[in-house]
Amino acid sequence: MHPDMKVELAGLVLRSPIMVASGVLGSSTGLIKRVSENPSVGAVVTKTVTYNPRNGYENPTAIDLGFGFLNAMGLPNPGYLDYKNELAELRDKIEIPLIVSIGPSNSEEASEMVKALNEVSDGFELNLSCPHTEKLGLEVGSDPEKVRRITASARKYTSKPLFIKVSPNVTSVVEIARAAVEAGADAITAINTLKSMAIDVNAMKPVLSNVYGGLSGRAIRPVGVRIVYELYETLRVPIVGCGGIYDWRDAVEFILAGASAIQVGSAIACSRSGLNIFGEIEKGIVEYLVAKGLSNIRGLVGLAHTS
Amino acid sequence: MSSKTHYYVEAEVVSNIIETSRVNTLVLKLGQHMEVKPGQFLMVWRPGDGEIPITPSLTNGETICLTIERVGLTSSRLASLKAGERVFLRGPYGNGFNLEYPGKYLLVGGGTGAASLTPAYLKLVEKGVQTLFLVGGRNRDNLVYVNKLRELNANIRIATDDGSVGFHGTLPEFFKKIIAESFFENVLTIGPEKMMVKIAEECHRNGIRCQVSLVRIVKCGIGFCGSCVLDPVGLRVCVDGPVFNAEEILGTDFGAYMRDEAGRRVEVTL
Repeated sequence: MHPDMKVELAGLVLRSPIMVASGVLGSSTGLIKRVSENPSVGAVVTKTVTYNPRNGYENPTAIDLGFGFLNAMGLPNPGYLDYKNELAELRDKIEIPLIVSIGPSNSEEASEMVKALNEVSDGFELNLSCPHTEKLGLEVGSDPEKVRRITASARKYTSKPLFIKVSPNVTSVVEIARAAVEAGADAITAINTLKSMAIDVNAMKPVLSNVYGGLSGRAIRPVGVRIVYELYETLRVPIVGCGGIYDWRDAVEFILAGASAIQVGSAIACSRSGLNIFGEIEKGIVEYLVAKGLSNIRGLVGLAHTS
Repeated sequence: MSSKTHYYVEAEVVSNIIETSRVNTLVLKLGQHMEVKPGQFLMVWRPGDGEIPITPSLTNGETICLTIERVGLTSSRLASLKAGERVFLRGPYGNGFNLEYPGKYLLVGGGTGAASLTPAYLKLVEKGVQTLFLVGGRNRDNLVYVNKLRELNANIRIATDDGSVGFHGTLPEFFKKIIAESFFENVLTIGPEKMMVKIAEECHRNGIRCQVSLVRIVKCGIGFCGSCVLDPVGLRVCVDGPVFNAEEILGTDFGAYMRDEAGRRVEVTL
């Protein structure tokens, strides 16, 4: 019998627990559509859109370290008003939930953006965790009070699922996540990238033009698993696991830690075949469930917890 | 790709050759061996000046030539480097040309495109394949790599918009005339996108297999940022390209739209 891979996440029904993480695949409707047609993809999170258009940073903005990627793109995006048109066009073309990632720097921006984009989205993910942008992301996401205010402002203007993407670059992720949940968040996405940098030994200079960036990919998976495990111990809302998921084993690890769904980001990079990864992950999870005698994916969530 | 390093390869400028008033070729000595297939590109970084994608114009593993047109700040600074100065390279990235298809090859290079096609030309010669190289520019002072190609014994024909040398007219016009005279099974083209799209359409009408190499704003270079995507097909120039079979991209953003720095869809102007 084929195990049931459907998951229910904060009111959304996903045909598969595998989602596309924010920040990859840019703002291209063509690319998002191409990925959404993959039957193993349950939902897509868009690239983060901000209140004002941003060109992002000068190159170098990203490098492949082998064990992960280091990037400081600087959240390049056309701004929420411009992007709304593309989203409207896209939403008609895809059949799976489209979650719009927004990066507000304050409560007013959060309200405005959610109000404007509500009709073209199936949910929102608040990026309060980008480690390399001034006055955005982590700069607001490391303060529980700011997180509370921004989450509440977004909540006021949408009844659609509201995810808060949290950063590992804080002393207590649980404290930040709890503030978000108390302010009305439906789910927590964990984790965003780890603040980091690289120096070229021949140039004797930082590689990224922004000096600091965020580390993603293989290297950060154990950090992500730890944080999802911690959040599951204390929160009563669904958790979406993210960080260095490359294959079914990585995905199952996050689910056992407590994730109801998972997101794939960095692993999509690199090749045309990169987009086949979703099918491979789903196939692996299905085989795992069969081998373990489980009839559905939901039964796996949080099984690593002893209680 | 497994031999690709996860750090920059240092390279020293051996000489800087002036090609035209806007184009220079840097001859670089590599700090370590680098294998670049014809049509693949490198990300070229100079700390403080930025980083841009460039398809090399000659490469032999230890020496590499980059033919650079002054378009923006980074390219202008790179094009002005002097002997002894250093740049840092990562890559190679992308797919490169497929030179396994049987038949004769017609190479069509507009502007610096002639230089970027040279490694493909050399590879074809090595394989004993018959080639003809069309080089075009606005006038005789805008032609790039003609002397180099003559030095390499290439079978070349020239077109200039003002007729100051060779065929009087644009490359697509000249191309039409050439393929009416003799049949080529394959076309490889690099140049301004408006030119390439005309070549590709002409190939489509005549049943010629055409490979085009596209330029976009490449940021990450490794397929995740989405800056270089062709809509509506969602192909990424940096990993799915930069070389595409024209049939695969005719009717898409090719020749019409690209993304600007902020990811806005804007018209292709050149």
